[in-house]
Amino acid sequence: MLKTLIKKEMMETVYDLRFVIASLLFITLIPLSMYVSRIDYEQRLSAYQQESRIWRARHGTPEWDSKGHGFRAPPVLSVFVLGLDPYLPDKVVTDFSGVFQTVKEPNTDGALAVLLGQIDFRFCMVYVVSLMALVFTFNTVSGERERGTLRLLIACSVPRGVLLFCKWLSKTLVLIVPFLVAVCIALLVLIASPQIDLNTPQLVYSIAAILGISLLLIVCMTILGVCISTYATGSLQSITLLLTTWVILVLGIPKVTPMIANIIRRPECRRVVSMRKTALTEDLMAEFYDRREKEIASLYGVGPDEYETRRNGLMIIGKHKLTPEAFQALMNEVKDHKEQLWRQYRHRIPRELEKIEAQYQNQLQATHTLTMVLSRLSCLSCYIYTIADLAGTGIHEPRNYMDNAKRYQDQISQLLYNNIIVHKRRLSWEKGFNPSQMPPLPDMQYARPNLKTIISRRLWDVLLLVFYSVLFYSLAFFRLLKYDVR
Amino acid sequence: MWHTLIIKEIKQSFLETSSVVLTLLCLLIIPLALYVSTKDYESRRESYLSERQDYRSRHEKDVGFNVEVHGFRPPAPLSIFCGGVSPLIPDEVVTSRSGLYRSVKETATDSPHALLLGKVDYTYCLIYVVSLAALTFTFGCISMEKESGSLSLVTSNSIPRSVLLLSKVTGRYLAFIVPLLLSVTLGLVIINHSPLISVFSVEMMPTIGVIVCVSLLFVLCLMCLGICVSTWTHYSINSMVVVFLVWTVMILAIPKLSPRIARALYPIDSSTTFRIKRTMLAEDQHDAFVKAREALKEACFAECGAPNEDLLSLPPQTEEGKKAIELYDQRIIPLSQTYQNQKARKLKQLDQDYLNQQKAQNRLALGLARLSPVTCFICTVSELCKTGMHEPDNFNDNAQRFQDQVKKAIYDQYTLREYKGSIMPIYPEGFNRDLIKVPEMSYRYPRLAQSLERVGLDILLLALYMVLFCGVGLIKMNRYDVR
Repeated sequence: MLKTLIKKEMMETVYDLRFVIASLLFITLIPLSMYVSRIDYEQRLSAYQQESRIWRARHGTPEWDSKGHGFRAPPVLSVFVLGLDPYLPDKVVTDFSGVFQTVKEPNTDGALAVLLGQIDFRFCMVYVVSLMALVFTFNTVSGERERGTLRLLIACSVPRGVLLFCKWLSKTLVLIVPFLVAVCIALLVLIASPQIDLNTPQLVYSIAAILGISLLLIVCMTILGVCISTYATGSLQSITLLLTTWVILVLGIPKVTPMIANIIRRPECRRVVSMRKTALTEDLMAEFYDRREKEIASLYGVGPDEYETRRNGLMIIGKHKLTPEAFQALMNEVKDHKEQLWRQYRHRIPRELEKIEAQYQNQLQATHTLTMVLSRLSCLSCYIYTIADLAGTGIHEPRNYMDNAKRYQDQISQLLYNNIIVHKRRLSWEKGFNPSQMPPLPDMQYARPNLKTIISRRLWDVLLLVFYSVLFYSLAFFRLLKYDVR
Repeated sequence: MWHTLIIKEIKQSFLETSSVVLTLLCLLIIPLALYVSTKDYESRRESYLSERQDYRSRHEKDVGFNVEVHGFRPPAPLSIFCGGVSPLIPDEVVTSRSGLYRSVKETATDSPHALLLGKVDYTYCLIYVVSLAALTFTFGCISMEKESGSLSLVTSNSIPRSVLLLSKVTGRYLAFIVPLLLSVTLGLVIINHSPLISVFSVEMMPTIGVIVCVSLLFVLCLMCLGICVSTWTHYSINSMVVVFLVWTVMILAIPKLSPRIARALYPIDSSTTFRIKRTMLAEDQHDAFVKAREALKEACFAECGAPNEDLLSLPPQTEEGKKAIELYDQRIIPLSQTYQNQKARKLKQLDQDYLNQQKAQNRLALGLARLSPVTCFICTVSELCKTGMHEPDNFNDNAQRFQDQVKKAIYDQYTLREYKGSIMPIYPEGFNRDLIKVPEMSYRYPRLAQSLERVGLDILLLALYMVLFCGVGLIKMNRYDVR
């Protein structure tokens, strides 16, 4: 019986115009979106390689005022989900003060794409596939109820649970076939790229995970469609309810909740925090220069702008009249004192800045937690968070970027900046350090979290997707059980 | 008859479930979207004011020789209605002595969820929610009547088919815009509540009026499309499916794929490549200037007969060395000016060439994207809200104006002497540093008339699409066989 029912439902669905339209849409849009994403990725990768190579060729050799430039390669899986990638900084610029800067070059290249919106695999899933899933299933039960065939079916002593299950399963299977065909074509488009190598196990598993989650979303949406169909009395009512639900789940909840969370718990703006950091750095540097002058003057009696002169074989500087050897010894003491003071401030500046950053991150974390809770009311949000993280363009990526930037700053500091001493108008190298023996400044090694970490982070979202599916199915089941055939 | 048919359509629309659902949806989503957009604008405005104040308090008197004056761009008030390209527009301009300004864009990852999930504004609601609702409202107009058999009864009453079709369009449209206008009015009241915005002011009201009118035209266009599709199908289910296909293609596919197709057809250098070329050109020009400067220095010292040791010491020890320095000070000014002008000219040429290429590509992309009425709508509203495709050019104009202002106020007041790595200003006679004020950037947005001129074509296209869909629907309706 199960087999017969499933076969019947599948035949009915395949002969429907909806199947043709869904197949057409999937097979056109998904590979096409993958193709444009691939071209876009190749362009971004080429730009990154070119910039990195040229910078290294022209500025790689360390000098007095060397600032290390660390460039970030675009993640391969951003072809699936562009996510936060366009908003992340293009490069990290290190500085001897210990404070790195992240630079995002203004880019009006893609102005029209930003105005009209971008298309990628995630977009196709969220807007096209989810809508088609609802269109496929909206009249599963309500249509049969309208035509009067539902009571005939039930009168044939078919268990209602079996009936519901067969209807849902057949619709889902028929919808998944063109989807999988489209995905296969899309993967072929991706493999055809000379710049994308999918042979890494991490990439293969990530792609498999993305596809798995996408299938879970399709299952969830088809169950939702069947559920609403059990509650509606006719097809028109069904479609109206389904569209309203779709608008709320796809357009309403995910987009409104972050803004509501920002209103409830508004953190400070990043620009204001950056300005505060810059101001603090300037203040601390001014304090350092001031303190250095005062201490040198009080401890050694040497003013800031005083130069030595020679008279009658003696060196005269400030109140001192010294022999050349004594003068040299005094100058060495002054130099050691300055270097010691600079080392103090070189550690103090990043520490103070980290306090401001930590405070800001705490504010952000509170807002982010609230946003996550509110946005997870929609299964689409759970889906988006998961695949964005799998693609390396999710909400944890800004934090990951800052960690990488800090690591790069520390690396350059260890190689170069820790050997620089700051004087009033010049810089000098630490004793025994020879800059000509140093290799060119290294590139930033950008580390991304592994698949296990991502899955452990997003386990809740996957479980929520399963939970929503079970919830919608249960609601549909209980509603069908209560259906009165008379 | 006309009157009767319209009333009948209106009554029918109001009695349908979809009408109730639509009203609730509009009354919920549009005011909510306007509310959150208003709060977002308030937050951006606050950070702009705070940043500007912070800068002014620390750097108001800073007119030193190496000063780079910062100008800040305020957020556009009408960006509440349409965010447009504002995520791409720089927030800050940094001027320089060389005459070339730099634009700064802070990374905006404060709210990664909003960036990942997308932001909602008035334009978004209209494109995705109202458009879908408009099509759902009208997909069964004709096909359902065909299915139920009532269309043949109506047409057998010797009612002109054009009158029938147009009364359906009119009746449905009037029933649809009531909840829409209610929700927009509610939204405007919410916006007006904000202390930073006055909706009913002389500056904002005309533009908002135009935006609402264009929105109503857009909705009418889509309703004509829905009815047109309905005339081509015989069953409401098929109507609905075709309408979704059309919606997907027109709203989702065409506008989003057009820029990519244009890039494939007319490829240009990416902005990163252009930036690299620009930086390399600037560095090469700087290196050339440094070489010329060193050569000038040596020439001056040789001319005055100063010893080589004076070239290495600062200040020079001999009288000839001091004379050589004075000679160098005189000659460095025109040399520096020449190289600055040359650098600025070459960079401007490079910028202009790239801009022309970008414009050509954008024109192609827009041409393709205008196959969908949604693109016409987005371009119109974003231009009226000062967040459209012309805003990057407007930013550059404002930035250049600010650069010229700062150059006149500060950089042209004195010249610099670069000698052995140290830079010293050379002040003219009677110069008083305290009299110099650091200018502030006053950012200008284009006027309504200018914006309307730019969007005239898009508004015309929207009207044309409306006529086209109506016309096609009418042709099909006239060919309908009642048997």
